[in-house]
Amino acid sequence: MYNLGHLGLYKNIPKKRIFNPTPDYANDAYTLLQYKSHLRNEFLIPLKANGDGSGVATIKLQSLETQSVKITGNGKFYTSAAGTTELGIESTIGTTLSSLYVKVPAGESCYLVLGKADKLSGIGDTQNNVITDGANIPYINYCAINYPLINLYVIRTDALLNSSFTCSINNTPNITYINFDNNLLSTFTGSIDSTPNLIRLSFYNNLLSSFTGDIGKIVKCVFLRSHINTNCTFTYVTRRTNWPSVYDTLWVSCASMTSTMVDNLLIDLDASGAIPVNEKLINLSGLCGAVTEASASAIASLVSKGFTVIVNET
Amino acid sequence: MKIALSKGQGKYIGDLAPFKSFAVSINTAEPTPMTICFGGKTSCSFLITNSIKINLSLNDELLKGFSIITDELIEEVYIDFYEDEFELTQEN
Repeated sequence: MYNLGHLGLYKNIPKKRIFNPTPDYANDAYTLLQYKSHLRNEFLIPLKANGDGSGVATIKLQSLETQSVKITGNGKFYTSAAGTTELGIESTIGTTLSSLYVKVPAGESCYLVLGKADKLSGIGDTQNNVITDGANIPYINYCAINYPLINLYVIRTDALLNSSFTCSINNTPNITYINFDNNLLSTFTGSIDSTPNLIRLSFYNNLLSSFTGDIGKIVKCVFLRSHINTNCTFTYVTRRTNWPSVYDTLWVSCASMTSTMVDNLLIDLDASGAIPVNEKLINLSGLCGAVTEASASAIASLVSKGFTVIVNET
Repeated sequence: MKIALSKGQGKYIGDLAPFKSFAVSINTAEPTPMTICFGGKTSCSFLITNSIKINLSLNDELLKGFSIITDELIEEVYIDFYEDEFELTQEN
């Protein structure tokens, strides 16, 4: 056998490229960076400048333990929302809701790089959005949650007009609170079957998201509001008696909720003895199936307890 | 608008512009069950004491009136519709 390698006969055959796991934030595509981040137990939050870039974004995050956060490109941390004293390119978030003050020069983008993805517990909290959008303030640009964040409990982006997320809740098994009401750009997917600790899920006016799953499996949930969204396919298959002791809002409009499911849900919720609190609202109208006589007494009972019950009639 | 009731029942026939909430008031402090059926297909049942505010978006449909059923002692109901929702929810 002759060895012809020295003649250069194979010089046009590409050599096998070796995967370089080191992120190149300036040149790698976001999807590739996410893959590398997953391998490194990091989490990326993409930021984009808005307007003249003069504004300071206050980004609120929480972690199970203190962790470093770096900013890439020409983004900079500041010591306060005034944006007068520069802090550099590294900061920290702690075990209480922590604020990061960030500026991004006009026309540029960058990433926040969280060092311990598995410890991230809050993107905002139940009272505070992760960011406040505004003129000239950088915004979160389609932050993707597409690998498991096992200790993430809260995502709140209520009424944000610029910032956006894409998230499958199948990657957030311990999530308890999701609120992206009136956040029109975000897209959330996944099954509520995979979030047994969910207490509140609210995405009023968001038409892009497409959740699935069985309301019978989110046994801790006291507030579920999807409202008009033709993409969601909630059901009530797993009948249960273990509803929470108090209940706030159940507002679902899905063609997947058949008449039988609506009847059964009302009957089971009534039988559970759950006490109405706050909005005290059960709204299974819109695209849901119409109620039948089977749930008539349950509706009357729920109303006598203080619930407002809205359903489709045959 | 004011709806006069007879034996606890009344109705309004006419176009209703799309609304996202409504408020109902009656002249009694006794908790009273009431059902309002919009367009003959979506019913809203609740317990009212003097007044109540309810958020109810109906897919921007133009409704052709509503009917009311409540306690026979109630002789009139005031109902007003709004384009925006009421802030009713307390965050957990």
